[in-house]
Amino acid sequence: MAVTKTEPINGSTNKPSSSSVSMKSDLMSTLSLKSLKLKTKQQELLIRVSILCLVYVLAFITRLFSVLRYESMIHEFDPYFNYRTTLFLTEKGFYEFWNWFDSESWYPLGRIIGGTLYPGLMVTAAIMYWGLRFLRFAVHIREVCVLTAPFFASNTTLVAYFFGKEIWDTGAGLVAAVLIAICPGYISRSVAGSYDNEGVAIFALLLTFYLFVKAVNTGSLAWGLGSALGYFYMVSAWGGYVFIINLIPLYVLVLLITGRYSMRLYVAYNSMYVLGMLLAMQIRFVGFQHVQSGEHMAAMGVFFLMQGFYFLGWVKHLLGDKKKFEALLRIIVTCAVGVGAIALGVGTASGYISPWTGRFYSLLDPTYAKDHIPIIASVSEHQPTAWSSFMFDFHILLFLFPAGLYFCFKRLSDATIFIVMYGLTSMYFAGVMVRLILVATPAVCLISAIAVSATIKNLTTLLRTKSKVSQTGTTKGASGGKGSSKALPDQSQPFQRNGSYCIAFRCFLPAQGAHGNRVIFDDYREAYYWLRQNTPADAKVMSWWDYGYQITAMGNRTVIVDNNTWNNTHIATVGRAMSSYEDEAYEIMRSLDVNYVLVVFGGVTGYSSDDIKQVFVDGENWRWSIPFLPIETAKIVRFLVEYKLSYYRFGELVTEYGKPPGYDRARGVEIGNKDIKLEHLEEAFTTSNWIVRIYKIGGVSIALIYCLDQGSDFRNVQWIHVLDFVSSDNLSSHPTPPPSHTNTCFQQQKFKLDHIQQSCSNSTITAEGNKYYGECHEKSIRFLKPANKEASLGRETDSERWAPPPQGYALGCFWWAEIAFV
Amino acid sequence: MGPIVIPCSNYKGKGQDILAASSSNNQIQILNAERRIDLSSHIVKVFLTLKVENVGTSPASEIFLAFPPSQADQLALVKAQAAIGKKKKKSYVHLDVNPTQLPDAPNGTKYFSISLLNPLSSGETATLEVLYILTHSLEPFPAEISQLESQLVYFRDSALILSPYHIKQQTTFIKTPSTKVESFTRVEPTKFAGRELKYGPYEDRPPYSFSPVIVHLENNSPFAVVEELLREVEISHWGNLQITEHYKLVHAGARHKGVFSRVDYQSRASVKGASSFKHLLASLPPRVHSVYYRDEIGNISSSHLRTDYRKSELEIEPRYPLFGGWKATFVIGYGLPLEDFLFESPDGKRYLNFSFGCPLAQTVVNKLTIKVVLPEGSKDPSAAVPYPVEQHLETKYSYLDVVGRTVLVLEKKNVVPEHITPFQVYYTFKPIFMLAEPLMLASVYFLFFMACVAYLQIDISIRK
Repeated sequence: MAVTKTEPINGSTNKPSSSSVSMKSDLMSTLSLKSLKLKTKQQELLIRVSILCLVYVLAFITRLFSVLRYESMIHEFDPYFNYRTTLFLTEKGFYEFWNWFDSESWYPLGRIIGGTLYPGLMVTAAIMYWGLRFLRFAVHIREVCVLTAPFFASNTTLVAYFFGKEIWDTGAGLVAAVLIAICPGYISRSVAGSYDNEGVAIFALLLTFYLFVKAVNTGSLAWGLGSALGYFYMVSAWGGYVFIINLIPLYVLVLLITGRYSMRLYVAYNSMYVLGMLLAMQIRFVGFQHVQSGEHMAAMGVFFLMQGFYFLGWVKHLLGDKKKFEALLRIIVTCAVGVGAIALGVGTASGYISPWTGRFYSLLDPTYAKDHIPIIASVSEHQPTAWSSFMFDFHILLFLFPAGLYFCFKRLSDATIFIVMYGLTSMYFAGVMVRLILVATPAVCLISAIAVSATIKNLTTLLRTKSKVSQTGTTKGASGGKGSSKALPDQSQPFQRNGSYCIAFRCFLPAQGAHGNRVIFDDYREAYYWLRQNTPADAKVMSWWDYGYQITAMGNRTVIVDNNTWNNTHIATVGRAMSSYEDEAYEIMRSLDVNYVLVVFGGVTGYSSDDIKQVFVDGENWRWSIPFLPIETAKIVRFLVEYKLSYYRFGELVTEYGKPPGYDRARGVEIGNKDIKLEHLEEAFTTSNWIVRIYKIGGVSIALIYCLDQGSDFRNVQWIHVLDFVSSDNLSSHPTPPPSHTNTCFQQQKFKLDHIQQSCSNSTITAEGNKYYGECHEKSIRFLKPANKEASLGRETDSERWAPPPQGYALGCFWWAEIAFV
Repeated sequence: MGPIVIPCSNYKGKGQDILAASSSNNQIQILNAERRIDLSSHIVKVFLTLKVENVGTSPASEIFLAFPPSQADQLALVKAQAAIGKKKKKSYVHLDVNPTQLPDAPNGTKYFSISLLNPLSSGETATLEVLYILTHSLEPFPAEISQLESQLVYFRDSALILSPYHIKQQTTFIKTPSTKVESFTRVEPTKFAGRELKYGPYEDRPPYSFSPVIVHLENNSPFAVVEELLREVEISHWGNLQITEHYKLVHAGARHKGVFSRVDYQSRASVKGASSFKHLLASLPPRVHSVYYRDEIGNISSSHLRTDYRKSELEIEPRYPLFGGWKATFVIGYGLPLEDFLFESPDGKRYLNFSFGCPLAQTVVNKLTIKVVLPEGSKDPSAAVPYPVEQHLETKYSYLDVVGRTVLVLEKKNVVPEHITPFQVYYTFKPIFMLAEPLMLASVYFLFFMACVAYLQIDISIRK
C-alpha cells in the first residue's frame, strides 16, 4: 500500500533525472561510442547521484529560512563571538589569531583568545573565505559565516549517505541523507546565521564515526588515518569530542566482550587513537588533556587492553597448551589490573590526572547537577529534555528509531553494533540535556533510515513475489528514492519548527503590530550601534554577561564579563554590583573602571526575560538572591541598582491604555517606586522601545580640597576651598598627596562633573563621598563656600529607607558558572 | 584717491598695499549692492545683487569678489549670473567664476573673478547676481547643550560688504530661522523685524570697508554633516548600474551634554530634543530598484521608499536620533537601469551621465569621493566634471575578474546640495568583453562534467 501511495511523488522526484539520463546518454554516445543505452548499474548510479544532489540542495535551502525572512546576519550570542574572532583571523592572519590576547573582554583581566577557544570553526570559515576571494568571488566574510552552518549541514547529508551505506545499504544511506537534511533537531542548530561550533562539529562527528566504522570494516590503515584526521577536526571544532573519545573505546570494549575482536579492529582503533591523540594535542585549548584528564582515561585504558589482548593472543599461539595459558592469563590479568589501578590511583592522588569535572558527572547522572552544581541545573539549555522536545525534534523518527534498532539487532555486524551503541548512548544523553538532542540526531536519523529502507525492501520483495510481475529497474537506488519520498511529508513540520527557532534569536524581536503588520524591535542593535558610534573608543561597558559577546562584536567596546564565563568571581562581582545599593555598586563599578552600564528591560514591550528576571526571579530559584516582590512587599529591591536602572523614569510612562503610568507589561504589575533618583549614574541612552538602557557613570573628579574644621562628617566642615580638579579619566595618574603632609589637608573628595564646572565659576559644590584624612587648616580665601548647606539632600532623606540588607543577600554569586558544554 | 581708512581692526593692512590694490580697481564702482543672507539651515546661502558701473576709461572684463580668509575656507560654491534685458523680458546668463589672486590683497583677502560676457565699456552699468554658499559658518554657542535646550549659534560677518570697489549704496538682510535672536551687533541703521535683520542702507563706503557683526540666534535645523561620503558607481553592461554609498554622518551642531532621556524625547520630541534630528531624505533617480539601507551590524529596518516616474525618495532613519556630536555610519545601495545613464557619444566612446553630489537633502559633505567602476576591459577613462576635482585611477577586483576593473576616482571637499549637477565619464569598451565571464564559467562547468565523464569511463586501476 505504501508503495502505491508514494508512486506519484516518486515519479516526480525522478523526473529531472530521467531527462538528464537522455542528455547524458547523448553525450556518451558521441564520446565513447560504446552503446546508446545506459546499463542498469549506470542508471542506478545516475539516480543515486541526482538524489544526493537534490538532498544536498534541500539541506541547504531549508536552512536559509532566517535569511529569507529577515536578513543575512549572525544570530544569537555565541555566534557573535565566533564572528568577531573570524573577522580578526581574516584581517590579521593565523599567527596573530593564535597569539591573540583580547583586552576588550573580561576587563581588566583580558582573555587569551587563541588559547581558550576551539579554532576549527573560525579556520574553516576563513579558509572558505580566502578560497572564494582567490577565485575572485567578492564575498564578505559575514556572508561566509552566515552560510557556514547550512553548507556543513549539506556536507553532513553526504557523510550520512556514506555512513548509511556502510552500515546497511545504499538505500538506507539515501534515506539517512534525506532525514538528516530535514530533521528539525539538526536544523535548529544549523540554520543560516547560527554560526556556532555545533554547525561544523556535527559534520566532523559523523565523519569521524563513519571513517572509523569504515576502518573497522576494512581493517585499512588509510581509513584509520582518515578517522584520526576527522577526530582532529572534531577536536578543533567542539568540546563535544569527549563523546567520541569515550564512545569509541566503549564500542571497542563491547566488541571485545562479545568476542568480535579482530585484527581489523586492532588496526582501526590503534591507528585512530594514537594519531588522533597526538593530533588533538596540537589544539592549544585541549593540550595534554588526552593523557591527563579523567574523561580521556577510558580511551587510554582500552588502548592498553587492546595491546594486552594482542599480546595474549600471541602468547596463546606460542604456548599452544591451554592449561599453561590459563595460568599465565590469570597472573597477567591480575598484574595488569593491579598496575592499572595503582597508576590511576597515584595519578589522581598526585593531581597529574584530573578528576572528572562536574559537567561530566552531570551528564552521567541527571540528578547530580541539581544537588551539586545548581548553576548547571539552572540554564535552560541544560535542563532535562521534555517529551515534547523529543517529539518536536525527531517527529516520526521517534517511532522509526526502535524499529531501526530491531533491524540492527536482526542483522548484527560490527557496523550495526556501532550505530546501536551510538544511538543508545546519545539518546540517553539527549534525555539528560536538551542541548544534546543535537548529538543524538544523526544516530536517530541513521537508525530510522535503516528501518525505512529495510521495511520498504521487505515490502517490495513481498509484493514482487506475490504479483510475480517482473519490474524493471527496481534497484536499491530506486527503493532509496521511494524511501526518500516517503519521508517527504515530514517537511512541513521542520519549517514551523525552524520558524520558532528564528524568533527565539535575540538580536531583534519581531512582533505583531496593532494592524497585524510585522514590527521588529531592533533595540539591541540600536543600543550596540549607539555604543559603537557615540562612546569613547576605550569605554568599558558593564552588563549582564549574556550580552558580553554582542557588545564586543557589535558595539566594539570593552566589556567586563561575557558569555565565556571563565571567571566566576568576576561575574559574581558584576552580579553583586547589579544587586547592591547604588553606593556600593558605585564603589564596585569604580574599582572595575566601568564607564557605562547596560541593562535590558522589557517592561515596556512585555519582553519578560530581561535583566530583572535574570537577577531577581531566576536568582531566587538559585537560592542566593532576595525574592522579587513587585509592589510594596520587598522594599529593599527597590533600591538595588538593577531595579533602579530598569525602572528609572519608568513611572512617568503610560505603557498600556487603561493602566496607571509605570505599568510593567512584562510582569503585569504597577511598579512600586515611581520616583527613582539616581545618584552616581545618569541615563545616557534608552532605545526606542526601552529594551536596552545605557547609563553613564557620573563623571567623577577628585578635588583637592583645603578645608576648615575637623570632623567625622563632611557636612560638618564649615568652609571648603577647591584647589584643583582632576578628571576621573586620569584618576590613577594623579599623585595622591600623602596623608602625613603637614599643614595641609589634601582630601580626596568626589564630585559630579556638573557640579565641578559650576564650582569653578564660584557657585555650588555638592559633597557626596566622605573619605578624607589628615589635619585641616585654614589657608586660603579663594572660592569659599559653606559646604554644609550644599550637601546632597538625597542621602539624608533616603537614609531611613535604606534599611540594612538582610543577611546573606548578594552572597553566593557563584550560581553563574556557565556549564557551556562547548 | 586719498588714503583709505579701514574701519576694522582686522584689516590693519599696510596703507601702501591697499592704495595699490584699490588703484588697479578704481575704474569700477558699485552703484547698489543688496545682500540677502539666509540662515534658516546650517548651509548659509548668500544672494548678492550688484549693480556695477565702469567709471574708468578702458573697458573692464572682470569683476572681483572679495572674501575675508576665514569665510573663504567655508566657501563651498560661488555662482554668478548676469541679468540681461529690461524688467519684463529679463533673462539670466550664467557667468564663469574662478578663484584668482590679486598681488596686493590686504590681510589675506581671497578673490573670485567673475568673467563678464561682454566687457563693460566706460560708463556702462551691469547687474550681476551672485550666489555663494558657506558651510560650517554657524558656530554653536553654547558649544554644549542639554537635551531640553535649543541650539543657539553665532553667525559672524561684516555689516558692510567686503569689496575691492567703492560701493555707493548697500543693504544687508539676514533671514533668521525663527524670531528668536539672542543678540546682534548694531551698526546703525539696523533694524530687526519678524524674521529679518536689516543692516543698512549704508552710503558711499570706500573699498575694503569692513564692520564685523555677530548675530546670536536660535537655529534648530538639522546640522547634518557627512564627514565622508564614498559613492561607488559600478557599471555592468548587462544592464545594471549599481550604486553603493557609504556615509559617515555626524550632527555638527552644539554637542549633546548630560543625559538623554527617552521619556522626554518620546513625549514631545520637537521641544525636548529640538536640536536633534531623526529623519533624512535622500532623493534618488527614478526607476531605482533593490534599495538597501544597512550598516556594519546589519539591516536598518526604519526606511521608506516612495517612487514615481520622476523621482524616488528614500526616507531613512538612523538607528537612533542624532544629537549634537553623535555619529552614525551607514550604507545605502541601489540599482538603476543602465539605459537611463549610459550613452554612446558620436565618436564611438561610451559615457556615463550621472549626478555629482550627495543625494541627502540639506547636508554638507566634507569629503566626497566618487568611484566610477568601469567594466573589465574598458580603456581610456576620462571625466568631465563641472567643478575642480582631484582625479586618479585605481583597480578593483570584483566577481570573477582576471585583470581587474578600472576605477576612476573623483574627490572633492565641501560639497553642498547645489553641487548636484550631472557629470560624465567617457571610456571605450568592446562588447566582446561582456562574454568573458560567462564563457569562463561555462568552460569550468564543461571541464567539470568532462572530468566526471572521464572518471566514469576510464578504468585507472593497476590490476587487470
